[in-house]
Amino acid sequence: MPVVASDLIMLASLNMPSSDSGTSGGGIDVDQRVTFTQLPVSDTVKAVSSSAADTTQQVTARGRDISGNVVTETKTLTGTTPITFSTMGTVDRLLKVSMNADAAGTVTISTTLGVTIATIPIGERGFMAYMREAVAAAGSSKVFYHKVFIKNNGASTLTGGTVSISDPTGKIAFGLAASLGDTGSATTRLTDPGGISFSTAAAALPASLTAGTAIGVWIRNTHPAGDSSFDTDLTITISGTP
Amino acid sequence: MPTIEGIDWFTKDTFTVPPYITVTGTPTRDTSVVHEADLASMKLVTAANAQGLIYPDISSGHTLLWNACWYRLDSLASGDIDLMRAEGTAGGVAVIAYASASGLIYHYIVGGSTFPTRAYTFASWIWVEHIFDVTSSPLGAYTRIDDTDLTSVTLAGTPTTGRRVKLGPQGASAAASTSYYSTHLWGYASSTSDWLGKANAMVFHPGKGVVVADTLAATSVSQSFVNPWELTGASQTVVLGDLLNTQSIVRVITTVLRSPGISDDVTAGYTIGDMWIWGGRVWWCTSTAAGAAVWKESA
Repeated sequence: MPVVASDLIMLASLNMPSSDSGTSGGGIDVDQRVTFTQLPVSDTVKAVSSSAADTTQQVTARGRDISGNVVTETKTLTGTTPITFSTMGTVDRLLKVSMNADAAGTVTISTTLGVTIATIPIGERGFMAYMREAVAAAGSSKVFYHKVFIKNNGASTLTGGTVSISDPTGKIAFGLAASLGDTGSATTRLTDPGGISFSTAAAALPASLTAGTAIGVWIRNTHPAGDSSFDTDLTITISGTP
Repeated sequence: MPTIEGIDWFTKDTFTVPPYITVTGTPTRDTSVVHEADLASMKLVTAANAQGLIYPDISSGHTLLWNACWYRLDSLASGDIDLMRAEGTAGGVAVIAYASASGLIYHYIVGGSTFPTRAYTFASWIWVEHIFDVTSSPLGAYTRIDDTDLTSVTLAGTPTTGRRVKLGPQGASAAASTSYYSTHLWGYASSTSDWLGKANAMVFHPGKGVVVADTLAATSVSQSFVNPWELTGASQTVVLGDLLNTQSIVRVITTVLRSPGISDDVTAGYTIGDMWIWGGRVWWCTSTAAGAAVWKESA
């Protein structure tokens, strides 16, 4: 069976800091994705499982309210009955959703208005914004480095793979790890990981993406002194021969 | 690349578009090119020189990377009939045929020494899917009924010039053909994301009553990921000037993502003269009285 688009998934690295201290990057985190649909309008957030057996897993949602404050709440799944993060309240955006244990069913995170933000597949634990709670500096530019992975979740090999980005802000460049499945990291998210060639141009994978392997993708956000706020999306695309 | 598996056993009264067992890729039915509201299937009454058309043209504007038509056939014919042929100019002909004497439908590839003929029990009705490539010039296919070649389906060239899938006597023009099918349902499937259609690309799964259309490598696969991110803008401190020999420092607040209110007062650290920018609007603080701060919006 050749590789199909849905075989290709994007996951977080083991270190996706929400502050400017602590390691950034590392190996692949097979439990967390960095892809989801941000709330189109401010709303409260709900979670529900496709399995009635999911009644013990705790789901922690973290977002930013309409005043810009970071808010968080942990609730326990109640199977196929939706739970609402009512204490967290109306949020302008979600920053991260994580579970403390695998669920038996697929867990869907949505808004009260019914917009699906993400589904957490069985065996995974959640999703997050790859860059979150980052603050620009008033007097100097600031550069952030975060690492994500594109994994071939299928059973066949993707050859001739290339990665490209679409960035409406013009703030972002990216670079591929030198080898598949690397564990390279940066001291903090403000530290250049070293050995990565950053560019906005499409880049070829260093090797065929065989079944189960992943390529690390470093994302560099560069923000000048006094930069304004952003709440937006980066689109990363991988193409190749299945 | 699409792999389609569908159950091929149907009764005439319950015929519907075959349920897919598995679909890999996105070989979705494009209703924009399905004529009227007909089911995506066709009933043919087999007879000599049976002819008819499958309309409409694949009109300009569609980007068809593969397309398919399928038909069900009753078993009234005497003698063997070819149900479908697909061939390429590079050689090789894939044939689906029906032997009325034995009631078997079988599949073989002309010249395909390594590909054995396979036979399948044919009940009253069978679903056949016939898929052609319309984007690669050396490819083509045609259909036969009663061992009579039906109109060749020439699908070379770009898909934007209009393509017609025709069933009828070999050589007859589509425009001149007359529909011979009595009650018929027909249809069309297409995809803009996958393709197939080279010679011998059709494979049967014996024992499952299944047609698998596709064995060839697709040209490419692509997946895009939407990655949200956020950044809080920088606070800025601005020295506004020397007032009465006292330097007054006021701030420009850009990081609080809302309008200012009465609680944004002296106790919260605000100063008269502070400027607040949010949502494309600007306010100036004119009073920092506790619990009664006043922010005047700039016109």
